[in-house]
Amino acid sequence: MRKLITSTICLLLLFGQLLAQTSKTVSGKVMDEKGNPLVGVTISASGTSKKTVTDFKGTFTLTLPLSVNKLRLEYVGYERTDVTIKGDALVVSLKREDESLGEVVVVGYGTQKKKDITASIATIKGDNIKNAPVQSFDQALSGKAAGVNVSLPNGVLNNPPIIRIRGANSITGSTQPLIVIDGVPTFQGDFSTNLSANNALGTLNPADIEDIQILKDAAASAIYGSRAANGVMLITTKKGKQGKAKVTYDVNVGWSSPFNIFEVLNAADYISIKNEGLRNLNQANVNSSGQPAGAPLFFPATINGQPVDTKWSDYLYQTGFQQNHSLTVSGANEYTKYYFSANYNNQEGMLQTNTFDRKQMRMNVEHKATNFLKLGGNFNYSRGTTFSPNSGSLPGTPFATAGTARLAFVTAPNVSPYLADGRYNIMGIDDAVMRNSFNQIGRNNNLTNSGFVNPVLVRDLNVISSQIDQITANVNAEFKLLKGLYFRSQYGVNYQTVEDKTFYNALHGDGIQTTATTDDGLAFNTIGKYNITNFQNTITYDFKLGSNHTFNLLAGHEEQHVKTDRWGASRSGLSDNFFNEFQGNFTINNAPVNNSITENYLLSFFGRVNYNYNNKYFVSANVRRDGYSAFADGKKWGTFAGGSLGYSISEENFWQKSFLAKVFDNFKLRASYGQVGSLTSVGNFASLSTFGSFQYGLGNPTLFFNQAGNKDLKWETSEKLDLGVNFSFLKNRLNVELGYYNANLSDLIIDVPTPPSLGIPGNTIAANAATAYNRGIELQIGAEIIQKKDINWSINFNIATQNNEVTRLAPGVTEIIGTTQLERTNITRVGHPQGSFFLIKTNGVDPATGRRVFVNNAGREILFDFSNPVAANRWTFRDNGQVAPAIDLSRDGYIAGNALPKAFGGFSSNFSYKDFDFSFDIYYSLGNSVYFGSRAGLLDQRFWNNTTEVLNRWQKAGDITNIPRVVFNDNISNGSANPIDANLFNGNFAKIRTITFGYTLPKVIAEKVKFSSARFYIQAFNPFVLTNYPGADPEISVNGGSGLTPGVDRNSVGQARTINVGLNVIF
Amino acid sequence: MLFSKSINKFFTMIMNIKNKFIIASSITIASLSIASCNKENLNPIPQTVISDASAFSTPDRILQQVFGVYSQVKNGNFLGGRTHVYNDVRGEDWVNVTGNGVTALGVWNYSIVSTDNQVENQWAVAYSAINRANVLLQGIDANSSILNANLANRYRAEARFCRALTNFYLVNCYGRRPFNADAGASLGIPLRVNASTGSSGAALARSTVAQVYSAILDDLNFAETNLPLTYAGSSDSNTVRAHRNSAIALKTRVYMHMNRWNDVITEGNKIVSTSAPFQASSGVAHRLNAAFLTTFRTYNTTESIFSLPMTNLNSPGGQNGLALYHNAEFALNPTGIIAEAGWRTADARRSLIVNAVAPFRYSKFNDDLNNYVPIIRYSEVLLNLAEAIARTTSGVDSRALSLLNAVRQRSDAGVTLAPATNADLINAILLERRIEFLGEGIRALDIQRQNIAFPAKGSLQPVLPTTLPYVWPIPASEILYNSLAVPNS
Repeated sequence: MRKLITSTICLLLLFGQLLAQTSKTVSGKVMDEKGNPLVGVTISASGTSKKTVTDFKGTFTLTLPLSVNKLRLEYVGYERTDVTIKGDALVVSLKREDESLGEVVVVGYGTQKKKDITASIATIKGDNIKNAPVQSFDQALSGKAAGVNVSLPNGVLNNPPIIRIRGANSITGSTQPLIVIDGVPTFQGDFSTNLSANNALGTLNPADIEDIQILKDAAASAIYGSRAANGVMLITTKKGKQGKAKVTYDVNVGWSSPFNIFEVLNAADYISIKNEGLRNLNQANVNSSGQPAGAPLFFPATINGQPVDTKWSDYLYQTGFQQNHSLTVSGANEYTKYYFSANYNNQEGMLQTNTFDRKQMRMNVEHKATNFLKLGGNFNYSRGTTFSPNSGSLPGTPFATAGTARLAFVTAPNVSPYLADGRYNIMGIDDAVMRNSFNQIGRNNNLTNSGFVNPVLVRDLNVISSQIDQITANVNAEFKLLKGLYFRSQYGVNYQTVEDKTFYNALHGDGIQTTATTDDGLAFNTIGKYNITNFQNTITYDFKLGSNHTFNLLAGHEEQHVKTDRWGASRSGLSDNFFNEFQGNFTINNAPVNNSITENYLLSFFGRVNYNYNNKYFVSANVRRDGYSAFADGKKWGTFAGGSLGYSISEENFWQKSFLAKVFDNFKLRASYGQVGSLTSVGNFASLSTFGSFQYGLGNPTLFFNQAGNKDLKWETSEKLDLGVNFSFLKNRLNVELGYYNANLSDLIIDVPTPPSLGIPGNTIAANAATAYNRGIELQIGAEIIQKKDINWSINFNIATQNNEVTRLAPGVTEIIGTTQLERTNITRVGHPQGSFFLIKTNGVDPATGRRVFVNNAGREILFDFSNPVAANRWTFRDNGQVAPAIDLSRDGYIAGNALPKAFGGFSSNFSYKDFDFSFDIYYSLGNSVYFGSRAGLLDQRFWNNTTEVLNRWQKAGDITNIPRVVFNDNISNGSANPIDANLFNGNFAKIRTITFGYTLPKVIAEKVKFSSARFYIQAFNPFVLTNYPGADPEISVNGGSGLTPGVDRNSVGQARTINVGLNVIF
Repeated sequence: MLFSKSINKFFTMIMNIKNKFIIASSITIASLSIASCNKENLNPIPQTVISDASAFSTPDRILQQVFGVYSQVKNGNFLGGRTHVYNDVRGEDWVNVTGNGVTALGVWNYSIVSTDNQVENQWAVAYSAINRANVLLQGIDANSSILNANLANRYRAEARFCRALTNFYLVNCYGRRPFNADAGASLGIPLRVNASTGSSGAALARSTVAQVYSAILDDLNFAETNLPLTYAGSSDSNTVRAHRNSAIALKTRVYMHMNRWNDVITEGNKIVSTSAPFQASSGVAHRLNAAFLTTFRTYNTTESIFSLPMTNLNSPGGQNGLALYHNAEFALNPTGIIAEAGWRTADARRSLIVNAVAPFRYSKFNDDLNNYVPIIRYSEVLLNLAEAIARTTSGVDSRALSLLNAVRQRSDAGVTLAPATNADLINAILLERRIEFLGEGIRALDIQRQNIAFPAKGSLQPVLPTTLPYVWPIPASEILYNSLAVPNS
């Protein structure tokens, strides 16, 4: 292997080498400041075309005309150095460039020196995230940059995180930023059509990322026009660096397990609580099992002589093993940079049968063909495969009957997963009719239903998977037309095929048709092809007028086509339980699933001017004109622009003469303003009124009005203002960035509700109707606290506040209800932050009666008694005992709290002592509530098992408690039927996201074993959470990134805790 | 190496032109011309839907829209499933088994509220069916050249039949009180008669129950005049599409709900012979099937006046089908109709009870992917006519009794019912309806048209006609977004 690599490199180094004619020979050695040889330093002789590069020992030999007496040495990262030839053996040491000043930052369609930037751009280095035990790089960004909120909604593998840059910039559209990898916009989000989440970004190997630039304000993002409102994330993958081939191997293995999972009743307590509920109900049994009023229905059971006390979570959770291997080979000479990598990642989740697997290969090449032409190309192939149980944790699934997250806790503990003979315990296992009509777990000795489905059977026999095969490639060429004038053209593609497979067994669970036994078993597969093709051409011109006016101009064109072509099929009537693939024998073909053909097209022209005067005054302006196919006819084209001013006040004479210069190393003021757009809320054909088709019975094709289009539909607008100051002091050891942002959002698209009686399909018409704002302050502090030979310690802190308010919805519409699959949990109301919690007010438990105290919209307290046999009399006024109208969420609900955090950020610390390093980072979020809907279910008084909290229930007059008297089948008192504010909790948290302890092998030892460096580390992911939130995880969001229903924790799994150990080796 | 050299050579050659601008500008021009010729890409045409501009452009498309109206009536949230379930389980003959809040638990125990999905979904789907009918009616008018006048009226009649049927179920469910409580003076539902393709006309007040009934009859009279007597070709069409006798049969039910007994008799006599064996003499030759179960297994027989078809590819959808409710979510109430002593074991309808002990299931419907859902059967017309005759005569009318026995004896040939008085006759007819239509969504309608309480069942006490739980709440979203709509109070 190594030999192959070496010879490949030799071949590359030979490219473009020139023959020389001799007059005199000069040789020498080039080293760094510490005396280490530098490999690949370019040595040229001015006035001639002679040049060479240093070899592996840092030495070079160059034959020169006798007249030449000066050499120029150039090496990336080091200062350019001219030396005079004295003698024929030179020894030169090169000095490192001051990194912070020379650092070049990727901005839209180009690069800019970091010190010249006056826009708000956050940078995250790839090395910061490459070892994190995540599936996609975006999961590792929490807390890493001010104003960039990245939260993980659940612990299902490769589920996409929620990214909100400077708040939610859209109400119904996506709030995810535009993500651009090496200049080509990429797919992001869950592309799976089934219950196995599969984030397209999981196909990118985090170790390939050089850095991520996050464009936050309009000055930075306006160059992306109609796609910029949510911010832009520019990802640059690694390129080879000057020098001999560098081979790196990163490996880690780890173990993931759940934490903070619910403690539910054991069998004895369960039986006692449920039977107590039956006694309290004290009525004829509604289940008609012939038992007298109040008689117990729950009894202990034994299997093979052992008492049944099943801890269901043990059957559904696990400690999952994971491993990750990345191998890279990279290098460069003065003509060619190359980078190859391969990655294998395999993870088992904390949920049993949840896995993620990635196989990936990348090749990045850049070649300087002539002195005016540079060619480049990137190629990445990746396959990301997930398997998942029905976790109940993905948007739209929390109430799934077979959702693991709920079944692990609500299933009765006094029933067993298996029967005495080892078969699965399900109702009527020997009688297909009985089995189908119940489709429930067996009851053992209980006389009523004791669970939904048997989760162990479903775990074993159902198979749900999703696989993404993705190719991303781009080729580009850059022509130098004149000094400083470049033309660049790039053609890129991102093609992915997603295959989703679902098999539901014919014995039990989702594959049961309940009533038509011949139809049991269900398989449905879907294939989707998703293509982005992107073509860009830009001209840039860098020039100076006089010595003080520096210009950088950009003009460009981009066009992008995005197409989806997806189809799926479904079969049922499994002929034999041996089969568990679609291609097995099924006897019935069902209606197709997930069919979709859609496309959009974006055509753009853009330009930018950057100007600075003497590095003191900075001006930049962007403009972009976008034509987008999804906008309505006549509204296709929009113009977006942004600009910024910067003032490096520390460059002024008066500053430098004053004491301020002694305090501050530099001090810069910046301001930017612009109008950008968002098109994520606009469906590809949303402006058109259309008729859909299906069938009526046998052979009668149908056609029906299926979309009320809006002929005025266009982009959403975000008007962004950004003010900031950057300064550093203590010899650049303390860097501070302080900023204020204000985004006024207008023309926000909402699905304006129409009364259902109007009969409009979906009861909504999309329109640019709403307005809102996001405002806040951002602070980022970086400090190099200790910089000594053996000890280094740096910390970073960031915080951002966000203040969101919806200022208008639509004419006649002042609120929109947010629904968590089946229940209304949130409301977006004018004058409040979007997606606020809308719940029924409660006031504890009445000590006299043990009844839940509800509060109606008039502020009157109403008691609820489920055990009252007269339905109409269940609700009574607390003050006079008279019958009250039933509490109704739509009438009695109120805004009980905000779901979006008021502040969030991160803190990180990196400490090293000699060969040891220790680092940690914290992600925190403050000022929001979380609706703990799972608690409503976990205190539900149907057969559902309860958390041990129920043991504090009210039992006799005078008991002061927060748990009402238990009444069997009562699903109202604790918020199952309608959400109540007793289940709303403070969501503040600080999570230690990672703690890492590392040890780098001393150089002498490393060299002995032929490594140039080797580092071992042990890392904990999510080791500690500081929070008062009583649920599993305050970061949870069962509705994903939905703007209308944030912050809901309902029957979904929190994140895992992962411990991994790893090794990074460089050969 | 070779590659590199030839590239260098190539570019050196080009350099000899001494004008790099030519290269660059030709590339720029080329790329911009690619861009400009792609401008048509800004107006892509969706490939899987049909534009509103051409939805009425051919007779075929208009016919497909007729089926589009039916297909929404048969939506699983409406008459394809749940509506029948709701009307059954509100009555006393069923008990809830699973305690599942999304499968009619709240409907069964009268605890549904205005925000309930069941309340919202049934309403929304029904109104969507009405709007499909209205869009079709408007489209036929606006594209008069596409169809001949006769066919245009036939399609209009089918649309109006569907609209009448939908309004009938809506007003009974959501109207504040049944027509017979106060001659329709209470608030009914918003009466939508215009096509909605945008947000205009959103606000519309609820008409009175009487106004809604009047509109229903208007539609049904038009339908009776313009529907075909029969459909040529497959017998399936005579079941799944409305024909003249369908409109007449539905009118007998509507008049029952208005206590207009003479009109019931007039309509009934159009399709029921004066003496046994009872059958329709014009249009589709309706008559009872010899065996009760035939109607529920063969589907498109002459007994099925109007049914909604189900196939594997066109099913009611998850948690919507009747068989699911009758065999899983609910069970027969041990103290309900099955406790009726006069309903003999020999009765073919009784043999459909599954299990000898509770929970008792009912297998009239056993396959949601294939069982057609009957909306109106010939036996209902016979019993409607029998009841109307009984209520307008004194004593035991022989034709009424004969109609009743036709229904009973089809399933239990060993019994001849012989009520002694007029009241006994009426009671016997009402009881026969509970048996005959068990699981077919008739029970709540029968209770409400009589304006009597929903009887006690299980742990639940009777629900009196004046109380709010007697009818459904108007959905919260209607109240919120229709500024003229008011809740039931």
